[in-house]
Amino acid sequence: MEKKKKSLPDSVAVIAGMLILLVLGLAAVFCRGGEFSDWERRYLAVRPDTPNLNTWTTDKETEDFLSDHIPGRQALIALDSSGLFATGRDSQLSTWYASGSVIEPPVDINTDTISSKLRRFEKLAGKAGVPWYVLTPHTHGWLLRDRIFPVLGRQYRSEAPAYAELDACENSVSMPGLFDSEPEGMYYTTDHHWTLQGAWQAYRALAKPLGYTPLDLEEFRITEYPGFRGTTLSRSGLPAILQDTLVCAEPDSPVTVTFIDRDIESTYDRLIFPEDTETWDGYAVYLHGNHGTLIIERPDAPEGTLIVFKDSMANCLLPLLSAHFRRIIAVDARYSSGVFSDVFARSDDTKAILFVYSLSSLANDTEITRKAK
Amino acid sequence: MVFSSLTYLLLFMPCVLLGYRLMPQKARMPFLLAASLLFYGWGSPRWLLLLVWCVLVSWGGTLLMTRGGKNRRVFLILIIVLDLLPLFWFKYAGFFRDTIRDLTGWDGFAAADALLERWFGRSPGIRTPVLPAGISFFTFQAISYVIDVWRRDSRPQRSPVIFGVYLSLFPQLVAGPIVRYIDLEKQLIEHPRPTWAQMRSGIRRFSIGLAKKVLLADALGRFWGQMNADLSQAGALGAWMGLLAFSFQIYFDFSGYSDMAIGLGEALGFVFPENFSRPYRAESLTGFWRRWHISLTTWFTEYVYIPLGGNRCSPWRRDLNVFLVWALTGLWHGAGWHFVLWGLYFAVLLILEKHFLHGRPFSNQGAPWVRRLITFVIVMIGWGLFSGFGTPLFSAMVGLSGLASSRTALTCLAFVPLLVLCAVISFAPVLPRIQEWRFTAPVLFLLCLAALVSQGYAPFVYFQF
Repeated sequence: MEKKKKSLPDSVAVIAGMLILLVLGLAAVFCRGGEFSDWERRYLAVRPDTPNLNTWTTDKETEDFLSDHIPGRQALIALDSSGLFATGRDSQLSTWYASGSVIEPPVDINTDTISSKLRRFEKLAGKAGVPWYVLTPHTHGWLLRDRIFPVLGRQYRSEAPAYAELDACENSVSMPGLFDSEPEGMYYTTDHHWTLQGAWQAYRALAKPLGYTPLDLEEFRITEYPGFRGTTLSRSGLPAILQDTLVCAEPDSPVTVTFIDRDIESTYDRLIFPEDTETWDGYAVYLHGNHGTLIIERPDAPEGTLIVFKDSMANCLLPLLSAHFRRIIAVDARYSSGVFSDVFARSDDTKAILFVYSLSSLANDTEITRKAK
Repeated sequence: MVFSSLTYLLLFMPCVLLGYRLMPQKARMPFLLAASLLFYGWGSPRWLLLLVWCVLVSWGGTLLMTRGGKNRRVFLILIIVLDLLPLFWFKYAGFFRDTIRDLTGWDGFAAADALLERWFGRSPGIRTPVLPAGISFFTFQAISYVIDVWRRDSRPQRSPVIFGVYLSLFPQLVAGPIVRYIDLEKQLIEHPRPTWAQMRSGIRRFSIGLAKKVLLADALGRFWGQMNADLSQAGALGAWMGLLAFSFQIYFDFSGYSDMAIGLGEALGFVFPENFSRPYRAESLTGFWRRWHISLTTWFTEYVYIPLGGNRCSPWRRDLNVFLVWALTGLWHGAGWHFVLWGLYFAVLLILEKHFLHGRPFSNQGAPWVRRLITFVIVMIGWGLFSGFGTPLFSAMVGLSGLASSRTALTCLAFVPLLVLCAVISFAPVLPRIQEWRFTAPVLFLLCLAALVSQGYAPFVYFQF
């Protein structure tokens, strides 16, 4: 006797299916999923206004609103992103999954912009009359290029001219061989920033040019904050299964840090901000995020003032450097007003100028070029 | 509104399908008309006027025509002209203006502006109009109805509501299939309540079509977009793979839409004709056009080719008819000379096929897959003309801009699995089997929902720093 397959009655299947869709739609309309997406760092769409027949945009606004507020949105995005990554189409996205990490694709390089920036750095340092150094670490993708799918790995060759340009510059500081030879652990698996290990390598590399004797890592106060999910994971849309542990190090001596954003100044007596690990930008644990200008003062340090022009790559490095400089003045072009040379007025005992930029910033950030004059 | 939107899937579709099923019989047609007008007007409410114009002209004009006695032919011509006016203005006015301006230097829009300014003291500033969605489809449906009534193949519909539903029925309003009134007349008048089994089957078909559109066609479109953005960088590899992707994209996009339309029609208790019958399995161009956009081919055969004399005339006249029909077919697809060229490309090939291959013993020799492959490549080159990238595309295909850059090679490699999947679905008889699996439709629907929601996923760019 033929065994009949058990199946839902048609009426139940149709009604249930349609009701599920309707409930999802109505829930999106009436039970909004908040106003801000921590994961995307943006404000979600607002409910469409009363339609205006002359400037009809209700269809687009409704679509955006439903897309932003549908229940289970993150899971749906993760499902779609996983499909793209699983079928290899992540090479079309702004992040690639490789060797257990979500990494950025190769940086678009125009060596002319790099050489132009280096010339500006030299000119700028000439105004202050002090030595200058530039530190741009190899990207995570470059470090992993021989360990990932060959076709993906080969794409990072496009970064080689940039590194050649930097190597040719005598003021460029090379990272220790360990940084390249043991890439695991130098960058976070879910973020484009380097880990404490990576920053530690930079700290060691800078010791000779800046004239200090590097301390052992054990001599710093180390704190750990698990559950960090960074920007590359966020951009990938992949499920939040991957996570990192933020590891911070700072000297165990009295310090003050002053943040200057536009005309607002705020002062703290610490460099690590554990409360920021709970916010959308966990990386702000270092130095409370990004600021136009920040001044770290550590009176018991042996050396004078170090001026640093930087992007967020330096945030993890500055606490380590602060063990050696009584004052570090750091300027971030994206958040500061005026030009770089304005900062020279803040110091009369500058020992050196340091430029710390990711390759992406060095190659493509026009704000740096504009302000480094 | 489009089927592949969250507004449609989460709000419109469940409300309309359940509402229609639960509605008493008398209220069903007005409900469907209201739903269809909402569907059409959602994208841009002002275009509703065009649809209403087409309904009123065709419905009212046909009623007058049936009482017109000796003047029936005059009425017929007048109604067709009035139906075609919006289509001509919105779709072709800019095209003809540009063509005439390029040939003679005379700008019709500027001249009309000047004339109106002289008459009324103010210039309206006539610009190239935006093309309203679905205008070619509902205009052709309206014309088929008028001609059928004129030929007395069909009786005029006295109810404006029923005729309005015929012309505006939302499942096939925007992209077909073009349904003749004769084929829907009985269903429209009786409009029986759809059974739950019909609804389930229709929704399943809809989900398959949605997956073709969202999961396959849209992804292929992104790939093709990347390739055609800079064909000199794409090289021969990128151009060939891009065109292959475009060929599959057109098929899955259009046949997906037809599947959705037919499925929705079924869920509402209507039976629409099939529009695609696995066209890339055709072994000749004639076979291809019997399987591709069947409703349009049928329309042109019925209302243009046969009235011109069809096959029952001298060979040179028949060939001329084929040329004319294919030029019009090209023009129907879009207002551009590359569409006309695409139509004529097929006209020439179909005439050659008819003269030199049909009925010849060697025409059926060789393995079927070879004939399919040859047909597919010819069709694919046709899509190259259709795409409008003509010269740069074909130059890249023959290797004039090199093989491919490294980045192009990576992109191509990433899309190989998708292209293979599309090829398997297009050429091998797997889809009907997959469709029968119980979980196929719900799983595909979920994946489509995920893809649609993902399109709105937009991490703030600056936070990369």
